[in-house]
Amino acid sequence: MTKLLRPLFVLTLGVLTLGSIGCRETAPKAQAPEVSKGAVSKATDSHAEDSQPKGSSTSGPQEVPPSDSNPLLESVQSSETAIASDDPLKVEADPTNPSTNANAEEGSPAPRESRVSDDGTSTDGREGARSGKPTFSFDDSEASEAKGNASWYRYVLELERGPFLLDLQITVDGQSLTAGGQKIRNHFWSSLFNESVDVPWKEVFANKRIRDGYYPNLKFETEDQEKQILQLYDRNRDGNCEPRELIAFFTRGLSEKGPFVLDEASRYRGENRDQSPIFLRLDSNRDGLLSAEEISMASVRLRAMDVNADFILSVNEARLLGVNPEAYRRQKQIASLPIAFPIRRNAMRETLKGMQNTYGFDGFITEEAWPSGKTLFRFLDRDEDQRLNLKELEGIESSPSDCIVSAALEGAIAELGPTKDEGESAPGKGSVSFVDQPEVEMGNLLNRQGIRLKLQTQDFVSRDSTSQRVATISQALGISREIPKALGTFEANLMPNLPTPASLDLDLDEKVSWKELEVWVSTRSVLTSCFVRVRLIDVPDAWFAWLDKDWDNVLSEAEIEGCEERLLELRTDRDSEIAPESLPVHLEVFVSRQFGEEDPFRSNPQDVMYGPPAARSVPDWFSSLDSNGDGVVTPREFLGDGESFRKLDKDSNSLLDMKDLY
Amino acid sequence: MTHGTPKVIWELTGQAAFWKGSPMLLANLIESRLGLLPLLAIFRRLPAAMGYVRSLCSSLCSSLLIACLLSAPLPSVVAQDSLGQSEISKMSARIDWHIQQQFLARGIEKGPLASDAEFLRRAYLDLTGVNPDAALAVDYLKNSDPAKRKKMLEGLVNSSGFSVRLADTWTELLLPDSSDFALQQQRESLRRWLLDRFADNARYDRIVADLLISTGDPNENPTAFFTSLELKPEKLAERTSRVFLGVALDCAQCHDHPFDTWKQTDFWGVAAYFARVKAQGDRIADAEQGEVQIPETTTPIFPKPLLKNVESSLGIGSRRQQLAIWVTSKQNSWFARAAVNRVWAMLMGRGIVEPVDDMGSKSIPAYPELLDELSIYFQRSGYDLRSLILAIAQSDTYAASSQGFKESPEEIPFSTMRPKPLTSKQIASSLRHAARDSSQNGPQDVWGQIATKLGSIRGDSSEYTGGVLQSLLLQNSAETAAIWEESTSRLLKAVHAPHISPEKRLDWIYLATLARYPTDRERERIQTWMKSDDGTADSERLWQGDLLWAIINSTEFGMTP
Repeated sequence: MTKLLRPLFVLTLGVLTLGSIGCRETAPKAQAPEVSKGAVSKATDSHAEDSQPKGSSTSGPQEVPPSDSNPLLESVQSSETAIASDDPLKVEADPTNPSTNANAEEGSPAPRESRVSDDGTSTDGREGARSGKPTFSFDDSEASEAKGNASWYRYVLELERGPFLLDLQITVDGQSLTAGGQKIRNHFWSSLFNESVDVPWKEVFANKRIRDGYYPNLKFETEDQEKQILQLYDRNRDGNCEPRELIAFFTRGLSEKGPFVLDEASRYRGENRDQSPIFLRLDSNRDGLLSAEEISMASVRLRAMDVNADFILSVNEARLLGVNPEAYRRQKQIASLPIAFPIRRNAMRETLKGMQNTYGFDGFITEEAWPSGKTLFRFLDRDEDQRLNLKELEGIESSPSDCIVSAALEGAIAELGPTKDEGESAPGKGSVSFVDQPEVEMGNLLNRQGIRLKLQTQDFVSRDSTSQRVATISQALGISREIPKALGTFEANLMPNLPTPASLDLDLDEKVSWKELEVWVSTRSVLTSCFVRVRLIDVPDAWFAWLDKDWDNVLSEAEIEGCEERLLELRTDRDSEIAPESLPVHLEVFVSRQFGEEDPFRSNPQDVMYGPPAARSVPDWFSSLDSNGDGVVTPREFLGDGESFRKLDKDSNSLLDMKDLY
Repeated sequence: MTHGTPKVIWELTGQAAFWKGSPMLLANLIESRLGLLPLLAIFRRLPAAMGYVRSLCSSLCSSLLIACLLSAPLPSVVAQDSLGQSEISKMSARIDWHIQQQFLARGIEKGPLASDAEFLRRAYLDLTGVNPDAALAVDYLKNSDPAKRKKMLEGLVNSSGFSVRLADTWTELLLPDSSDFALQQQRESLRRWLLDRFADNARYDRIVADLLISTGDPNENPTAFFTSLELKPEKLAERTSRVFLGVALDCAQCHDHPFDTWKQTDFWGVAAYFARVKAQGDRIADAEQGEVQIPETTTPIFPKPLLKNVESSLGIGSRRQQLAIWVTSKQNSWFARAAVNRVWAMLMGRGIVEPVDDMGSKSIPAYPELLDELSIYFQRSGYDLRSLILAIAQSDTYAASSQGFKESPEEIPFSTMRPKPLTSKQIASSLRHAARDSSQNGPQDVWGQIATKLGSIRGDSSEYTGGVLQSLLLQNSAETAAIWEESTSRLLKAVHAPHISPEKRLDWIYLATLARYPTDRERERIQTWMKSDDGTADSERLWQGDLLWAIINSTEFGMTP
């Protein structure tokens, strides 16, 4: 298998708490700190380097709005960090701050936590919004490795326990995400249409690779579909397909967003917001703004949408107005899951050790003892006896990976957290590691200020295998084959190819000992190998979501009654009107691991899934069977009788990969 | 534009002259496409003197015919396979019947049918240009379904490999291979263009018509056909008549054909159709003016169809459009016959008429009735190459074994299958297959270079001549050595997978290279050979490498059985 360039693809996640509903996505660089109104606070994008030594905290306690007012992900607001230039520190650096200058010199941007003071203005600090004590400091060494020319993007999530700030830095091939994304787009476009700038849509429709399902989710067959596509995606009505239009078309299953929202959410936001059925109904004069008068009439107009007069404005009723209930349902499902981060084996082990130390582990886990992730607990507790037995615990591998990882992570953070050793261990290709956690005083995840991860993967542009390249680019564009499944049956299909676990009960005593758990964890590559995929998806109707305070997919009478107040929260000035742009970007931030068939980086399986190459190398015979070098052996590539293939194909997916060999 | 309307008609309807005063062209078009003869006959008989009436009729008729043109079910762009599988089977039976008549006349018994392994490799190489995978071969050989051959053939003609094979074949026919990089690029653009159309199962007449009237950038469309022949009318006429009509006109370029009926004016009459093809910047287009003259004369020669029974449809549209009309006209039986004969030769090793590109009056078809019947069938199918190829490939004639083939004048043509030397491209793809390298690195990768080298003597990679250089290349080159050398051979590494027992390794080497199991005799000889060695694992790989070398350099490997 030809190994090509594998430039660094660094994703750094910073997780900060923020004591507010969320922060608005802000324009890069020039964005001034915003002022919160009422319960709405805004994360500012002051990214001046913290003057405190790493691990220390300087900021005082922050006012945190009641977390119950905003359920999970209710107001996910995207706030790009105030960095438009490739190097934020050049903009934000405080000349008096040695740390900042050091970073600026290195050209390595670093996320800064923002805190919101009582008056709504934000200051920089090291302190957790809730704990009020030093909890975290960022280490910029990793960012330095990323060559320091990537933008930071800030997103605020509101989880059940409070708001959650993510700073993301992504570099592609040493370039900023925007540049890297452009590279991907260009590559994708040129692979379809060579160097043409604008291609008639007719030609797009006639393109065999599109028509024949070369990109599996793009198949369309009838002229009606073509007309619909033209109507929806030929935005300038010139009959020509431009790269942006094509990508909007490609990512249509994601409300045209997909990962591009990382850098383009603000660009799409207006288009989405002002077409919301709710907004259209409220904006009675069609001037694109909600005036005070229109706000005062909001509840009346919403009630008028209640077509079955049950005092509830349901998703179904909204669907009549254009909201996709399926997407909405998925939105809810995602919202019910904790945010997840991948962890390394040690962290998982520590988690389990923490479980043992703290709760005692007698072979059963009660809900109280379950460290976190009640969703997962309830998922696993099939007999609903409020405790998990061995069999139920085995079901963890068929549960959503986010649950697993999240539970493990929450447990890790709650109890121990990663150690210094882990932080210093060099991540292998395709691995994720904690990079700067020694100083972190672990506690409840949401009381922590941040966690920073580094992801290294392979180049996803240059590859030998066409299908692999397409898969990779598609993945990079968010055209994941998982997505159609996820839209409908998110939980069931998230880990479709996970092998059935061997019994934990090695000594057959019908109880799980610590040792058995440790053995089990150590052999679960899916739990110990780490990938991160960050997917940010705009919710289908952010206005509905904004008004649906309890995220139950319906606007209750109380919510309708209180809609004026809720809308007023969006105003930045008492007399101002509310523009669609005032609505926070409701982004679902979906961080999950990648593995198996859908893994875009699977062509190097020994790195990706089974640890370092030295530990598990690909046998010569396997790579020789894999004639197209895509990391899997199909029945057609296989030499040997069918029975041999079936024996080797342990997960019965009609493909042989490294997973089947070990 | 109505979906499925032949482009050539619409090209014509776009001409201003068509609308202004050319009901005759429309009449011709309709006649040739829709068969509205009665109406047109009346129109034509109006005397010229009846000026007003004729003018009125012209208008009415034009309107009516245009309406017809817009609404009538003109031939689809894509061949519809309207004949169905039963018709294909009937045609296959008719092929066998025609061949059988010769046997009966001579009192000879028909030869045996090919074995499954022989047929499998033949079908794959003929229809896709590549060897079958070992796994497919095993499945096929084990399969006891009596209809497995038919199913396999149907699968193959619907595969992408089939389109590639046709595109490669027609590209080789249309354009000479060239070491010039620019020409290579243009050649590739023509190949891609053809590939798209064959993949869509476009009508053959439509493909030819579109090719002949194509304009634009040679790097993006099939106009490479014109540029690679230097835009010279005489070269274009020669290639067009050879490839699409099966007529070797070039002998009539300088003088009347010595052995055939073609006159020098016939040749230049065809060349005149290309007289106005010009390069305008980077694009190929039709100029307003331009004529050809017979060398050493000053008299311009005007376009003239080769065939007397085809109305020329002259005066309207570009000359190339006029050419496209008569070349693909149903009245032009040369067109279908040439295509049928070429396809037949591709599958059977020789044409019903030989040589395939010289079907002039002096070339006697081996089976004239069969050629006629197949030509009619091809036309009825909507010039559907897939149907035609399926009909031939499903016949027992195609399934005959090549084991008893003898090259002798007494041999009844097609009584046995004629082994076909692999083209250089087929050899290269077979080598790639044996190397277990299915990565797609473009035409210029090592295998593409091998194809070029193998075809280098004639400057044509479509045919492998098997000269000394080529033999040395296969036997000793670094590229091919990687296939069998112990340290680099992926096949040898693969057959040493733990799930393959030592005694089965020989089978898989044969299956992966020749798509068959070794015969008992081969086993015996190899066992004897092995016993002379020391029997260690290293030596096993060494002799397996030697065996691979022998197979790859064998006659069997270089031939389609």
